[in-house]
Amino acid sequence: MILGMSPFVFAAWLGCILATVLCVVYGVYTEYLKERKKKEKEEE
Amino acid sequence: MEATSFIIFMALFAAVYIILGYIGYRKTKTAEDYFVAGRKMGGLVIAFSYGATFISAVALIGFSGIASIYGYSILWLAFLNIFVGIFIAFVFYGFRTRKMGLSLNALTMPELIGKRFNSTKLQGVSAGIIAVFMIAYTAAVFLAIATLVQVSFGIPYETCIIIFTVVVGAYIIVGGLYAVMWTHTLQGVLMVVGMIILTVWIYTMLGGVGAAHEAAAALTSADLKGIGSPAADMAPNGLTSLPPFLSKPFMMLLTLIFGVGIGVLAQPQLVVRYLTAKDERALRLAIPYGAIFILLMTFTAFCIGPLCNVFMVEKGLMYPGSPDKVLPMVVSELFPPWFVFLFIFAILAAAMSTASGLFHTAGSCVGRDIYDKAIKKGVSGEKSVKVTRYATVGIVIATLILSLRPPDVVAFMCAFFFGLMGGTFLAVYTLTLYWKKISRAGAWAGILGGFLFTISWYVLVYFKTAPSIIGSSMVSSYKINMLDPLFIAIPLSFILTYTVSKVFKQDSEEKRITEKAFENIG
Repeated sequence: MILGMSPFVFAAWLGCILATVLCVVYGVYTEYLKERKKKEKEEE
Repeated sequence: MEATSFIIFMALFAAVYIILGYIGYRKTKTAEDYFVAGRKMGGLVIAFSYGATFISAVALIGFSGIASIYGYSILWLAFLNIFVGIFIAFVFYGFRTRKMGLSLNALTMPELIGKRFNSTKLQGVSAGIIAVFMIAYTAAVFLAIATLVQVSFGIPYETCIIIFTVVVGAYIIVGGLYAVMWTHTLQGVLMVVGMIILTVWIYTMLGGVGAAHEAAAALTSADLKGIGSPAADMAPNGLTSLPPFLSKPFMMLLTLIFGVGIGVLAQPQLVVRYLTAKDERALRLAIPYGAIFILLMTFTAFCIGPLCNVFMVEKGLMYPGSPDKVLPMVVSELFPPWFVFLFIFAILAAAMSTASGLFHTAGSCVGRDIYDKAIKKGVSGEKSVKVTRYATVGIVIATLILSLRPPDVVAFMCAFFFGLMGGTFLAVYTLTLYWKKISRAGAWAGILGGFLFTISWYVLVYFKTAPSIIGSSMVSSYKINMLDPLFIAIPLSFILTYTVSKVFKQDSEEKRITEKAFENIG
């Protein structure tokens, strides 16, 4: 048992949080990091 | 007293919605304004509107009740809601839909399909399928919330239905998609606040995440039988473990998780949100906002559901007879009146936001896709909006009539609608966005094949719907009759679309349109 849940159920619980983190990271990456790289390339 | 407070707050809410509807009316100058909010929406509004349309009262109350019976395994649906419903939907469908919609000047999902294949008939038929079943889906949403308000405040069911339908109908007809999306933002905030307070409070009462889950895991079959909960049979391995492979509870979870989890990709009321984005950045920003919103809705609701059993056993509360009543009963027994009030308004917001999105989409289908494009073969933008407003009035009246005297099958419409839209449109919609060689004949075959298979399965085989329609399922094995039609309809629709497109290839006009459709897609 992990946090009171069987491993397969815990995987779903963790999967929800990781999927949200993926979406946030995607948003931050495309909004800031990708844009910054693009600007740096344009300046070069 | 409670009923009076409810009526006062409801009147305040209605006033705010009508004001937003009026501002939307003032802003609506063109067909583009009415149908896709002028393609001027930012990331946060898109995320709230997409989430509030997606998550209805049924998802919050109904699925948390289902979680109280089947346990935490239902969290796989919350995972799909976030991963498929937000990430896959926006990244693999959203950007392309917006680009193709701009290239073809499409304002609705049926119009995107119709223009892509140069067929107003295909547009009309697609819109007809959507509109008819959307009316029943909206009636199911109103049925759920009116029952909750009736039980909580003692207001007659018919009065609730009339108030909700008239209020939602009024601001949509006047304000178009501007009003819908602004009210969604307001309703979304209320839903988030309600669910955060509820979740934190419940976990705190049970001593934190680990302790709460362990308390749920410790409930024995005898405990659950003692409160009359079906969880004693439906969660044979306990509330925090998966049921045995291919058992009845396992099949039930499988059909729920995949029916709703995958069907979300082809929901016309959600697809139109991509078309409202002012630029690609707005869609990109909607991804994290949307994921957090869905996490705070479904993940929290599904986590709370099984914990309701812990409170019921502790307080000696009996199972209320229906999963839909589990969470409202626990909230009304454990929480102070002010929170019960807030909770019901959060659920009301969830119902009204979904219903408004459905009304707008169904009205657009009848007004723009069927009357304007398929019958009249194109009218001016101003007339198109006028016709759609009249059509929406008709949709509102039809929903009102159906909600006042709902047939039994309406109660299943939420799961039914997601499956039907997924089975009918997902294959063609996906290939429309990704395969340049899909032809008009292939699209017809995919849509009609998927639709006929799905509807036949629901009428003749599916364990939930067939007994209400024909008396009993034609297939006795539960491993077959509990299978969601999507498992067969989607592959079948893909095969039909691909094979027929290979046999009946695109003509020269279709080839020209295909080039235009992909002009902004790399």
